[in-house]
Amino acid sequence: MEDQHPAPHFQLTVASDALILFTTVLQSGIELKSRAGIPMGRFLNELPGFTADYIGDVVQTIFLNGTAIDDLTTPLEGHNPILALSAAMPGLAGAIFRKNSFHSALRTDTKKTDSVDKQQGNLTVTLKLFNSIAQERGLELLKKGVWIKTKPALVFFSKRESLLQKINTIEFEKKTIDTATFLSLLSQSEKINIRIA
Amino acid sequence: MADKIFRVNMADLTTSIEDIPADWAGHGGRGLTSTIVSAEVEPTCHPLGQNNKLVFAPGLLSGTAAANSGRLSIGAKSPLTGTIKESNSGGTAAQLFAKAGCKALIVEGLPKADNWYSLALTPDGVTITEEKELIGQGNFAVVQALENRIEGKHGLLSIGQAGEMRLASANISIKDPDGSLRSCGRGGLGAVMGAKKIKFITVDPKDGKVAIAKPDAFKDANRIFAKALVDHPVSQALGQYGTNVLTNIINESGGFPTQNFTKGQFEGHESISGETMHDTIKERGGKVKHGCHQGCVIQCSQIYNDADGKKLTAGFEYESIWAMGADCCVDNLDHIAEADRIMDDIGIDTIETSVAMGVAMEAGVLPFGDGAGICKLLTEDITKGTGIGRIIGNGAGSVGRAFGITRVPVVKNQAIPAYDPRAIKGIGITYATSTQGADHTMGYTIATNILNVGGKVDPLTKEGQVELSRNLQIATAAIDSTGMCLFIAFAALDDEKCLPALVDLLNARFDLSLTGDDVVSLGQHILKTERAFNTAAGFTSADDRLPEFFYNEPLPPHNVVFDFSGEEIDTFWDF
Ligand code: SF4
Repeated sequence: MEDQHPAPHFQLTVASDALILFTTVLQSGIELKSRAGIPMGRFLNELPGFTADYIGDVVQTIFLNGTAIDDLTTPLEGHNPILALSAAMPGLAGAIFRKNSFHSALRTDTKKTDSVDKQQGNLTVTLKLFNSIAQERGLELLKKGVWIKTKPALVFFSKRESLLQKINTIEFEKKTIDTATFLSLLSQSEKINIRIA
Repeated sequence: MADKIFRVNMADLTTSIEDIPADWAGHGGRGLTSTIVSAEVEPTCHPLGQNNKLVFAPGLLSGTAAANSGRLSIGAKSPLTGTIKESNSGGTAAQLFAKAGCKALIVEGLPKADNWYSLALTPDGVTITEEKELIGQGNFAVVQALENRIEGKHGLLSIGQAGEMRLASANISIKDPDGSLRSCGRGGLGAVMGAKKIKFITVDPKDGKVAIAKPDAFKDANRIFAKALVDHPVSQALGQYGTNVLTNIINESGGFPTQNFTKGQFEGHESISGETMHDTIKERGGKVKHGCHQGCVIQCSQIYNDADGKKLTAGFEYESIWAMGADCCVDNLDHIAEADRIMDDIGIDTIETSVAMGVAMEAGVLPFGDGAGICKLLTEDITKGTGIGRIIGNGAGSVGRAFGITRVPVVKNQAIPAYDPRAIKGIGITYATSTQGADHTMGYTIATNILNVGGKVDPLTKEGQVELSRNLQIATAAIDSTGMCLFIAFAALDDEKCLPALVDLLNARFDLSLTGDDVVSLGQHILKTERAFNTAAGFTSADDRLPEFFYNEPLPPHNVVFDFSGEEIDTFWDF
C-alpha cells in the first residue's frame, strides 16, 4: 500500500492512557492506496496485525460499499470502495450480517447490478474500523500514520474537546503548533496524514 | 416453598393465593403470562376496562443462581396494539417474585372509588394500601420515596405520569440493583396498571428461597452455561460497548432508519455510536459495564454521566439511541441521554415515543434535529398531559392520525424499531408476523441450528426465509419463558455446550428430563396460543402487513423496497 497523497502531515504525541481513545477516529475511515482488483483478504493482510487468523476469527462482519460480504476473495474495485470491519455483533441484524452466517439468507440483496468500473492500476480504499477492531488494530495504524478526511476529524474533535487536552505535542512541518492552529489547518485541507503515538 | 398464584381483585380490593393449575405448571415468563391472559381475558375486552388482567410472571429459572435469568414478564391485552402482549425486563423484581414463591401475580378488575393504591407482595400474600403521596410523581421520585419509607431490600415496579394518564405508550418500570430503572417498555402495559389505579408494587420475599430439585447438577450446568456466555465474542462486544455497538454497523448497512424512515443512513451516526458513547462514558467516570440484575455475566448495560460527571441515565440501549438519534436526526448524545432519563421518569416507551416524535417532526410540530425541543416537549407536554403531549404519548400511530401523515412506521399500531425492513428484509417478516406488533426482540437469533429448527426449505427462497423467521420466533418464545435475557442467544447458537446446559438447568431445577425438542414444542405452543387470542380479538392476516410505504418508497442509499407479498407472509402460520 503506497502513500501518494500530497497533503499536510501532522504528528501528535498523546498521554499514553488516552491513546486508545483516539482509535475511535478510525470509525470515520482512513484512506489507503492499493491495487485495483486486489482480493479483499489480501488487502487486509497487508495491514499491520491483520493476520489470516485475525481476519478469519475476529473480523466477523465486513461491509463493502454497504453490502455484507462473506467471501474474502471479493476484489476491491470501482471508484473509492468503502470497506468497514467489525467484530461479531448482537441481535438478529448482527447475525444476519455476520460473515458466512446461517442467517445471511435474511439479508436484502443490495449488490449493485450495474457493472463497476474495472479500472487498472491504483485505487483508493476507505477503510472504516469499528468497535474492538479499532481498539485492537488501530494503535499500530495510528503510530504508522493514516490518511483521514478532515471533515469527520473536525466533527470528532469538536464533539470530543477533552481529547485535545490529552495531546502533549503537535508537530507540523517540523514545527510544534498549538491545538487552535492544528484545528485551523485541518479546516484548510480536505485530507491530512496524521500520526498519533 | 411450593410456588403459588397470587391474585388481586381491584374491584373489591381482595387478594388470594391459589394453587397452580396443572396446565400452567410447566410455564414461566412469557409462556405463563400468555397462557393466563388467553385463559382469563376476554379477547374483545377494552384493554383499559374491567375485563383486562395484568399478569406478572418470573421466568422458570428466575430466582436461582443461573446466569442472566432475572427477567420478569408482564402480560395483558395491549392498549397500543389491541393484541396479546408480553414485555419483559431485568431489574431485581423477577428474582424476588420467585423467591417469594409467586409463580404469577394476576391483577384483575378496576377499583370502584377514585383512589390510587399500592400493592405489597410477600410470601404471605398481597396487601393493598391506598396511596396519596406519590400520585403525579415520576418514577425516580417513587424509587427515592420508597427507599426512605420501606426498610430492607425490596423489589419495586412502578408507573410514572404516563401510566397514570393511561397513555398507550406507558411502560412499567422495574428498579435495578443500583436504583436505576429498567422498563417493560413496549405495548402500553403501564396504562393497564394505571387503569387499575396501582401506582407501584413492592416485592419482599423475606427469607424465601427458590428450591432446586438437583442442586449439584444445577451447579454443574450453570458453570458450563455461564462460561459459554462469558467466552462468546458477542458477549464481549456487549460488555464493552452495550447494544449501541450496532449503530455503526446498521448505518453502514443502509438499514438505519433516518428522518422518519426516509433514509437508511444518518450523517451524524458517528457522534452517537457505541464507540463514541464508550469513550464518553469512560472520560466522564461513568460505568461502561453494568448488569440489569444480579447474576448477569454479560453486563450490556452502562451508566452514562453528564459533562459534570453526574449520572444522567442508565441502560442506554441501541434502539432508544437510534430512535431519538437518527429517526429524529439528533446527533447530540447528551440530548438523547437527557431525553432517555426523562422518558424513564415519566414511564414511557423510548422507542414508541421517539418514533412518534419523528412522525411529529414530519408533521412540522418541531424541526428534525431539535434535541432540546424533544426534551422540552417531554417535560412540558407529555408529563403534564397537554393535548399534543397526549397525542405523542399515545404513539406513532396516534400522531399519524392526528396530523394526516401517511409515513407512519407501525405494525399493529406499534412502532417499528431500529432496523429498516427494506434493507434487512428478514427482520421485516418478524415485524409483520409478530403476535405483538412490530418488535425486534420477537425473532431473535437463537440456536436455530442446534435446536434443529433452522429450517428444511432452502433459506435463499422466500419460503425458506419465512420458515427461518418462524423458527427464530419459536425459539425466542421458548427462551422468553425461562427468564433468560435474549443475549444468551449468541452463545447458545455458537457453542454446542451452551444450549444443552440451559436445558440441564431447567431439568435440575424441576427434576425433569426435557430435551431440545421440548423447547421447540414450548415455543410453538406459545406462538399458537398468542395467535389464537389475537384471532378471537378480531385480528386477521390483513394485520400481518408492513405499512404501504415500505413497498413503494425505495430506501437510500441502496434504493431497496420490501418485497414479500401478503401470500408469502401468510405462509408463516403454516405449522
Ligand atoms: S446482558 Fe444486558 S439485558 Fe441481559 S441481563 Fe445483562 S444487563 Fe440485562
